[in-house]
Order: sequence, then structure tokens, then C-alpha cells
Amino acid sequence: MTPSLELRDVVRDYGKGARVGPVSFTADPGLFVSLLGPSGCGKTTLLRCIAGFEPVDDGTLIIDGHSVADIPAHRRGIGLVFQSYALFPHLTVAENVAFGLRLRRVPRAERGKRIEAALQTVGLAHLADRLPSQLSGGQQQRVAIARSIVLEPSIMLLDEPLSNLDYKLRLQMRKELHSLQRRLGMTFVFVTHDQSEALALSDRIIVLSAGKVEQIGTPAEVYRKPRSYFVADFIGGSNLLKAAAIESKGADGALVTLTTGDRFHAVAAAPGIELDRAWLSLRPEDLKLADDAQSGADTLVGKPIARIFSGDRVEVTIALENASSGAETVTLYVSPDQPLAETVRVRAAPGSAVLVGGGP
Amino acid sequence: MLRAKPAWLCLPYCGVIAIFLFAPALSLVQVSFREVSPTSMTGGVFTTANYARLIDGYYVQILWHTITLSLLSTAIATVLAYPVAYVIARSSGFARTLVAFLVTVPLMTSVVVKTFGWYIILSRGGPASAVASWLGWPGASLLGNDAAVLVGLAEFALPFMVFSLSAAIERIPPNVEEAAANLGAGRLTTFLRVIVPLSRAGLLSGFLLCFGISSSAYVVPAVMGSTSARMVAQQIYDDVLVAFNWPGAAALSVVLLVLLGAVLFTALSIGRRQVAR
Repeated sequence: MTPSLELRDVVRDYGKGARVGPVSFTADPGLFVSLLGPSGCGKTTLLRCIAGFEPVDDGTLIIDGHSVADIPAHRRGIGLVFQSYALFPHLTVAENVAFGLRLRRVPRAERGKRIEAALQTVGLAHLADRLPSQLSGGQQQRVAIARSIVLEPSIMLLDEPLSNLDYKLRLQMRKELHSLQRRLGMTFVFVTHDQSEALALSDRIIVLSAGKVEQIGTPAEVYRKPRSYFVADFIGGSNLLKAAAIESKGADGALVTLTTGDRFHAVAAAPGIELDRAWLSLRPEDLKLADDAQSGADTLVGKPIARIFSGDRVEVTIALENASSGAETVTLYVSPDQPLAETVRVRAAPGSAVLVGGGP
Repeated sequence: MLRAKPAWLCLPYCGVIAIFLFAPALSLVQVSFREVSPTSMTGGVFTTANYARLIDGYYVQILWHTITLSLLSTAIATVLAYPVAYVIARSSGFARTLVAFLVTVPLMTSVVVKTFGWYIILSRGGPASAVASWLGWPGASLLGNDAAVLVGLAEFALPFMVFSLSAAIERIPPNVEEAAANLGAGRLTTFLRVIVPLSRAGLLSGFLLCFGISSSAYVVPAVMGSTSARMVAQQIYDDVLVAFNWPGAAALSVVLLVLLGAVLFTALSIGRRQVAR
């Protein structure tokens, strides 16, 4: 199967050390792919390269099996939804959606039908004659989506489309985007800095940091098996504890000794981890309170120092005993009615601890 | 109107205009209804003869000529101004300053000096006529015709159009252009379908400035135009200083003022309707 989109060592070099890439990844047809990373990681630059608004300085950009190096933006036939929507303020909703169809000289009758269908898809058929300035942010967002999908592109690029919406609307649009993508069967390339959006929507997540790919995987892989300190830290809440010694166990297993002297059975998701930059990643939801009878490997001991109530659960912060720096803590979730002793022992679920490299 | 800010903020400006524009204009209207008198510059008894005189084909032709030349020079200035205005609006730093400076420089020179500059360039034996003879029109006179007047008027009006347009283009978000490209619009289509409609406020103010400047021009047509096809300001000048017919000149001036006022009013109300849309 030919991928909808393939980047082979794509580099965008702004000069003076500002450089994105080399980045390589593929997006198979019909998949929802997210480019996830903090602001400044190069995700929007890559999107603009794909759309043709930025030149590719090195490497190959392949869309539907063809290199697009010499194809200008207006002939790439890719849908793009801007963060700021970029609707045409002088045109009505229907005229905005009609813009691309007119350029393609779609006959009037068919054009009307397709506009109607596209507006129906995003639930805006009743606002066809409004101007963008008369619409709310969420509605403008939908017009921007309708304007692109009416042209039936094989790939849709979305640049942080939800970031200008308020919280409730964002959650609603997130669901709608998901079902829209499933219904249309288009390849979506979605740029976001919001890891929960990426986890909820994507078939594939490409985690970017400082212009480089950190990890490519399914949401579950990226969350459960982070390949680096950055990924473990950026995606989801994670407890990161410095490793003091590593002993290899089997193909990808390791027995990790922390600075506190506690020992953990861990999975190393990436090969070749250097000890002085190695950390143990423990997800808060994988930690449970344990009694002293369960002492031994995969447990930690410390004093609860903070409780944050959030309705269904309480987030407890524990300062570790024997911590070399004296400041190492872990957080875990307990039920609201759980009593806490002065000193508690916590245990990590088997197979949940991950050894990551590339830390500070 | 209800949303108007405190009206007294307009007072200083309105005062100056009232004293130095409206009062003289009223006296102009008053003089235009006086009979031509050999003893008084400002005329004799009440008459409408000065206006009746203008219905004559000669004056209608002058007014018509003035309007067409002004519209043409505005059109030329618009075509020349759009690309420059776009560059100014979409660039930054030194490049922007440089281009804006180059556009401003002609404004620092008096229209008389510039017109004589054009006179030298276009006159027989000048650089433009040398090029013309090299191209096969030896001894062609490039002066004394409407084309020469259009060149002069358009050049004079150009900076006003450039700055009106660049201010308007600057307010168009760049990603709206990118959106047009993404939907399949090439450069020209994006310009015609997006940039022009979204910069129409600047186009309107630029049109008003250029049309006003061109239709009231005196020096350019006097120096570069033909003696037979003249513009209104030349005729007014002749009526005042050659024929000593002040009431006649006043009537012609009033007609020009009303004409410009009508154009201004129409353009502004079209503009307001567009904005309200």
C-alpha cells in the first residue's frame, strides 16, 4: 500500500542554527496521525512544508507516491485547516466553501450539492448565508473544515485546530473530528501540543522535540513504552527517578537500582541507554499503596507531603526516604476515603516501570 | 451616528475649515451669481448667465475631458500602485523602509519641479524622444498631448494610492492568502479574489485622493498638455487672469466643486454599504 504521505529525512533550515529535521515518517491512507510536541519543536514548520508554504531544504516529501518538491502550494491538493481558521471575511459561509470548487470549475448544480453536503457534514447548513464575522469560534472552525473537505482531498492537515476553543467546545469538537475522520476515510495529519488530544484522537503519534522525532507509535505504545526521558515526561504525568545502577535482564529487561537504593524490574524501550542519563519512569496510576509485608523489589518508601483532591480521587505526593538529593518525590492516586499513615510504602504494578535514557 | 465620540474633538479642525474653506467657497458661490462688470472684479447684479454659459459645448467638453483624464490617471496609478503596495505591506525591516522611502521621495519635490522634469524628459531632443526615434519615430513630439498629461498626473497621484493600498493590505492576515493557495488559487487568482476585495477600503480612499488631485490639477496640463484639449483648472485660471471674468470663473469652480462633492459622496456611500455588508 502506498502511504498517503511520506517524509524521508526532511530538513527545513532557517539558518543561524534554527533547523527542523531530519524528520522521517509515513502516514498510511485513512489514518489519523498526530505531530505532537511542545511549542517550537517544529511541528507547524513540518505542516507548512507539507502544505507547500515552506521549502524543503533537504530530503524528500512524497504525497500519494509522488515527490512534490516542484509542486507549488496551490497545486498540491491537500486540505489545510489553520489554527486561526483563515476564512475569507468578505465571503459568506457558502461562498467560502465554494471558493475551491469555483477554481476547479465545478458546474453550478454540482457545486450547490457539494456545498450543501459539506455544510451538512459539519452541521452548519442553516448558516450558509452568514458572514464569518457573524459566527462563533467553533462555527468558524467548522466552516474551515467544510471548506477543505468539500474538495475531497486525500490528506487533511490540521494546525492546532482546537486550541482557540474553550474547554467544553474543544472536547466536543475533538469527538466530532474523530468521527468525521472515520466517516470520510481521509488521512488526517493533526498538529498539537496537547498530549491528551493526541492520545484520544490518533492512530499514530509522532512525538517531536527540538526539530527531531523522539518516538513514533500508537497512543498506547507512546504512553506505555516511552523511548526517551522527553517522551515519558511530556506525555501524561510521570514520576521520573534517577537510576544509580543498571543490570541487564534478558532482551529488553533491566534491574534498575535507584539513588534511594530501591530496586525495580524495568522495561527498556530503547537500546543503548547510558547510565548517567538513565531514569526510571513510573506512571502515577501504576503505583498502589502496599503494606510492609510486601517489601522488596518494585517498592518505594516515603512520607506523604501533599494531597490534591479532584473529586473521584486524591493525588498524593510522597517524599522518598533515603533520597540522595533529599528532594525526590513520586505522585500516585488513591481513593478519597483512603487513610494515609505517616510513612507509606508504594508498589509499582509488574511490567509498568520503564527505563528511559536521554535525561538531564 | 449614535456611536459618535465627543463632537467637540472635531471643533479645531472644523473651525479652520469653516473659516478658510467654507467661507471663501460661499463667497465664490455668491460671486458666481453676479453679472460680469467692467468696474468690479466681484461682479454686478444677480444673474444665472454664468451657469447658462457653461451649457455651451466648449465647457461641457472641458469638464468631460477633466473627468476622463482624472479617471484614467487614477486607473494607471492603481495598476502601478498595487504591486508596490503589496510589497510594502508584506515585507519588513530594511526592505520595507527602503521601498516606502522610494515611494515617498517624489512627495518631497514640488509638482512644478517634477512637471518640468517630465518636460525635459519628454521634449524634443530629450531622452524619451531619443528612445522614440531609435524605435522608429524620429522627431516625435511626446509633449502637448493627453498621454503626456496622463503620465504627469498618474506619477503625481501614485504615492497616495500606494500608501492607501498598503495600509489596507497590511490588515489582511497573510494566512488568508495561504488559505486561498491551499484551496487551489494561484498568485493572480488570490490577488483578484482575495487581496483586491479585502483592500477595497484602501482602494476607495486612494481613488478619492487620486481623483481629487488629478481633476484639480493645473500645472501638469498647463505645461505638458495640448493647448486645445484643456482641463478645468486651466480654464478657470484663464477666466480669472486673462479674461478678467471672475463671475464666470467662480461658476466654473462651483461646478467643479459640486462634481467632486458628488463623486466623493457616491464613493463614500458605496464604501459604507460594502462595510455594512
